[in-house]
Amino acid sequence: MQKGFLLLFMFILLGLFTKVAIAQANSDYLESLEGEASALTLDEETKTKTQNTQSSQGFDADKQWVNKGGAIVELKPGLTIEQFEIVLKNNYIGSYLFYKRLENVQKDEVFMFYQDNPDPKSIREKILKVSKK
Amino acid sequence: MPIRLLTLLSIVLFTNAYALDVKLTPGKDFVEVIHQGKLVKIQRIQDQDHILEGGFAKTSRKCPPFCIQPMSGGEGVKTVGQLEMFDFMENELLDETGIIVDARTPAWWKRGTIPGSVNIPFTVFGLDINDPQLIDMMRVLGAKRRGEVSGFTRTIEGFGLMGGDQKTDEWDFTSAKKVILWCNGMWCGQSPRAIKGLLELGYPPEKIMYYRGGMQGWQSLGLTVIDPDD
Repeated sequence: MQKGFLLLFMFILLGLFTKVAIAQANSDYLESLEGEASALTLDEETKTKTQNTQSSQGFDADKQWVNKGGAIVELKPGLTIEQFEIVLKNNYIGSYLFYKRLENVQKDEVFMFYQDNPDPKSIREKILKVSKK
Repeated sequence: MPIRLLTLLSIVLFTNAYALDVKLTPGKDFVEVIHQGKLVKIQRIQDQDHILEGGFAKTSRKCPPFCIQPMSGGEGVKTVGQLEMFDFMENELLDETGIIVDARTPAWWKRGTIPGSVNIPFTVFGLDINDPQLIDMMRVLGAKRRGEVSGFTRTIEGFGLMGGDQKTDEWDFTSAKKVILWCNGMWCGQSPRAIKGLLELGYPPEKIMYYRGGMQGWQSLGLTVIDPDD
């Protein structure tokens, strides 16, 4: 009986010791990470320049945009260009941000493409292709 | 005829004046990605004499803990390189079906990150499953915490029915995004730890990718990095 109790006690002790050891190892690792990070500098040449980015404020300004197309949630065939843009904006924001930067002629090209291919993936690819022309 | 030749020559010269000498691939000068609401252009340093400076030019750090990592991030997890990152940025990231995770602690993130990444430190994936921070971060990845699930439902799901292969007792990964995790590079254990944590939570391995090159691989190619506070 006493032997069994002793074994149980040792088992609990081992469990506690393991837990403490793991916690200590994790703490040491985090400490090493913080130490390395604090001394880190990046090559200035690889850092993006301010003019390399475009603020989305222009897009945010569209918030008052009236949803004339109603609650259309998917890219079904037969939408008007306004409805097409609303669906794009509401459901495919990434594609929309690229689309917004296109010239009107390029937007028309995308819209015409959509009329034959109302598939989000194909439209996204088309937008990217047109934006790189 | 000479006029046509001159026109052609001027077009070639004009085009070359705007083309980059150091491209990403023969057909790709740059990729654009949305980072915290801003459109960022990722390209390489154009100075062909440039030599990398800063912390990622360093070759040696004490091991352990900064030991060389295996090629695989875990069973069923795909390891990817820079080209796969670009492709992911132009597709899954753009349509929000995918997410790029900088799995480093905030101290690293603050000193510069790969554009398009979000910071979810690896430590989050080791938190208790009821921890609100873990639940929030899993939501960012598209995973939902499940409520009470009956034994009967789990039994049916166990047979792969009702989308059971994308669910555990605790989580529903049906709408979980594809995720690329990265950290400092081949000597960094932070993203492998995050991947281990995700796999332990039941995240489907086919939706996880490991960019082993990390920040060091990115920097060594002179690719754009961004200061998150900018």
